[in-house]
Amino acid sequence: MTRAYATMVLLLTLAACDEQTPPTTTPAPAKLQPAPAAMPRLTRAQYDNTVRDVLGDDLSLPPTLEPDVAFEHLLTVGSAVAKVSPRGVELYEEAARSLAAQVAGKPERLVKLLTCKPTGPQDSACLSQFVGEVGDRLWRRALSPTEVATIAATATKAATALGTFEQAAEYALVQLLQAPGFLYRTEHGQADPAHAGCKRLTAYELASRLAYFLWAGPPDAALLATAKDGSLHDPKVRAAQVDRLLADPKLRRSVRNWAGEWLQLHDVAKLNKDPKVYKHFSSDLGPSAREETLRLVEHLAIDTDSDFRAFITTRTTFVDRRLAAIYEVPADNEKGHAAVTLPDYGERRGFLGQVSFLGHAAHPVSSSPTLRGAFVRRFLLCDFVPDPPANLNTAIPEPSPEAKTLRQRLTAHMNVPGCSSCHKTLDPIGFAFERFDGIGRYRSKDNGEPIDTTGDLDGVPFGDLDSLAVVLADSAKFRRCVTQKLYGYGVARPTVAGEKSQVDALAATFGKNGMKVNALMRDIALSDGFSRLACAGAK
Amino acid sequence: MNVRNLTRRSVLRGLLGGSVVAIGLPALDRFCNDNGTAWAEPGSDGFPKRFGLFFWGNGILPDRWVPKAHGVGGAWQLSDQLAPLAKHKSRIAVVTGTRLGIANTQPHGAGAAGILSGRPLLHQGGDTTFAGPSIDQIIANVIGKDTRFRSLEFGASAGNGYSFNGPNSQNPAETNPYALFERIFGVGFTMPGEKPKFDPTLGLRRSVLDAVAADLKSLRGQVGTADATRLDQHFEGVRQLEQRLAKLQLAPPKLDACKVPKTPDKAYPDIEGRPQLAKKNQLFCELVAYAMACDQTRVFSNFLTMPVTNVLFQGATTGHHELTHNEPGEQKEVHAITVQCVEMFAAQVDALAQVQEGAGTLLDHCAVMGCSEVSLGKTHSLEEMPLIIAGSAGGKLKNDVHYRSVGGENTSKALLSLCRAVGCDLAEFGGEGGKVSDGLGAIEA
Repeated sequence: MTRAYATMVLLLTLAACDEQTPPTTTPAPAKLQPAPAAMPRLTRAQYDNTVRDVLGDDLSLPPTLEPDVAFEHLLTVGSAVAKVSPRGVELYEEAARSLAAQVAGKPERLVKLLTCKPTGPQDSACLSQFVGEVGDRLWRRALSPTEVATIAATATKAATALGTFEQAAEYALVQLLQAPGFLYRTEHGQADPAHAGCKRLTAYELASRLAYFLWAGPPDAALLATAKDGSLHDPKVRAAQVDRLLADPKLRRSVRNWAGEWLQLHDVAKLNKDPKVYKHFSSDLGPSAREETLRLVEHLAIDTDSDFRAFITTRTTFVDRRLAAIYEVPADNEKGHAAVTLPDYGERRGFLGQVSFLGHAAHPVSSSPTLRGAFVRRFLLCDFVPDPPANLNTAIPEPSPEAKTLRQRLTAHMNVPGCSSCHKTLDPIGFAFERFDGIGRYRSKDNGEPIDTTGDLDGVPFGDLDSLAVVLADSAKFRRCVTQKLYGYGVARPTVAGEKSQVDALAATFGKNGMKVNALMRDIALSDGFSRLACAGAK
Repeated sequence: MNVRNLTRRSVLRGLLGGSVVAIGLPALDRFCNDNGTAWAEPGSDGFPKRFGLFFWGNGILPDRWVPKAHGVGGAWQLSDQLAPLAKHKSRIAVVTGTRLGIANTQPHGAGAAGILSGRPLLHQGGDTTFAGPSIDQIIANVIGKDTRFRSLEFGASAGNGYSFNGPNSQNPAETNPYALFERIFGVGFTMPGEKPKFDPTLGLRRSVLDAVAADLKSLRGQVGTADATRLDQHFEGVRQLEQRLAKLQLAPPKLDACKVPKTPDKAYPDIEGRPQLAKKNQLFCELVAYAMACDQTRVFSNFLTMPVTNVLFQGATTGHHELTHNEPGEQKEVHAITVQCVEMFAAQVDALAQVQEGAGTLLDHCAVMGCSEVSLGKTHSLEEMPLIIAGSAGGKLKNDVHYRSVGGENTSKALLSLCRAVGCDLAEFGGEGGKVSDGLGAIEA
């Protein structure tokens, strides 16, 4: 697995901007060749949700854990390569102790997790029952009797040293929460009866993958029950469970989590602008912009089950007073976000008209057609955008009588050899947004000059953001990119070449069925690529 | 001694040799004496050696950084950008003219991996990570085992910092001085010389870690090579934590220099969009100086700012990174920011020099490496790398010297010297073009 990634990586590094898709060594197979087993480390979001779902939704979560790792620009994909550093071990230990103490120290929390009434500090039957039941939920599988006994042994030591059953339960939790069974989603697989010589996820592993995909959290008791009796392998049972998960309010949590990873909203939350240049900036603008984008995704994917092209083209957005001032629209709410309709004669529409994009893909004191173009390519079209060559000065020329606007200055820059091959693929997209300044406010002039926003997206011309949005939303690349981002998020590991046909097929169905994200999630959860594992002899 | 050195070298070579090396972890036990303490040796005056890293993003202006003359003592004078170190000239070494030997595959990112780990940046899945451990972690592996904290990572504007234990394994930096204070001097701190309060939970925590280590070992046998490597590292972290907890009930010897600093403020709001870098840095510097005076740790990393940072410095008209590329002419603003970074490095040096330790100061027992990921930020140059070393690591490093490398030697050579000076007897440092097996003799005492 590692070698395959490494080869791909090397080629990616060498690819030039002229080629927008990274070259591969061999043509992708026409039929699915499933990926090998993975061992994702719970992402921060999954950790939090698992703890809250199983132990109590009012727990204070740890302030810091080891950072997530990005791979294919997704943290959930990076979870398959993330390690645990020495500091990470300390943080997991502190977190486990804090969470366990919160549960054991508050009788109403502990009583919810206990199905027996302890007769005393050394009630080993009740202790083992507690370990078995809570352990199954935290580890997302049935603990073996040996595993239960090992944890109960530590807990019994605690009861002896500290004197109460509650403290025994506390140390059982301290151990459960630091164990690899909790921190990793191990996928060993089992022989796949439908494909000789190949493997598939075990029913427990499949239950976990489904739950973390659709809920960003652990399987509940009902889903675990279908894993325990193996019925989850039955396509009808699997479909029924997937439909149940999709209908649950916890779907919202995962859709938000996915959108946050996909659109780099963790960076948006840290938006940094010079308040001397942008008087609309304050440190809470970033979190506010992040929420706007999440609300739009929820609105389209869950509340209205809309065609997802609207993510790029809609005039609906969700603003608080801060954003309303930047968009120059009325704010309905005193506090929080409310839906507004942007004027249909304006250029601003969809995600590309939001501060999450316009402000994020920009500099602290100016806009940046290059950063905006690169964002569109990387995250909305899934094009490969190499880093700029390191040995060049990337400064753009200063304004001059011949080149006053940023576009004119960048065009001069594009003539520098070594810069042009990439800039010509990025800037022409970015020029579409030039009537929005570095924070996303509309402006009609740049440096006193009128602004030219025309350009083309891979040969299809557009006039400004308003028309670019339509070109982009209708493109096959956008459709496939959304599919790939959701698929990668679902399988929680890098996608291998053998899965190309699977992702292509999912993208085609997504297009045919009106680009409903909900239906795409269902198709992914029921797809072979989601549950099958590599066959013997596969590279 | 020779046998031990050879074995230590060969294992460290294995450790540093790349992510696919599966080491038999329990074998490391042989480097510990019967008390489970590590084999790091104190300096000749009995004080342990410490290592510090001080990092800022976006480089320097070489024309105003490199001192005009080179040599020892009166032969050289500080440059414009090094001027804030005037008070400590006799306690520092400046190394110029070296270059990173690794490929510059990503602006800033490649340089950061190159200077801190001596290895090329690892590109994976459109994202990047370090290919090997950063110098602070290489050193912490050796001299970090005796103290309550293996190493401390922090920084006024650090993000997560750049302390890596290899690919996809990062020790996140603390960004709030109050949080760092609580970690060091809050619950769990015992004043050296006093008997720790009996804590019945320490034994339980160790039992838990033992069980977790056993689980990791058992899982390791059921996964592929790449995942086994991930579990090896997790296992080693668990084992080290367990060993450190074991020492917390031993009464630590009295340390005259130890005192608990003042509790820092909890919040540091930006002022006019500018973070309070100098104030936070000052507090961090003092905290870590006392953490070392109290022997709570022997390794720290201070990530003042990160590469590509667009943080708004005091007096700057825009973000630091943007200025490095777009400020025309002689880049007065970039210069002023670099000087601020060196001032904050000087604050770190000063905090260490303020602590009396034996006949000298804490600084005398330290080697603090000040660096950035590029030299000239404008061109992401990896030639003429900025490197300042403060302290002599107990007499192992030369001070008051400007060493000018004429042939563009590999910067890793200086890092190897630093590792060796603080007690890591490495055979080599870095990988691929960044790999060296010789130190920089000119800075070794």
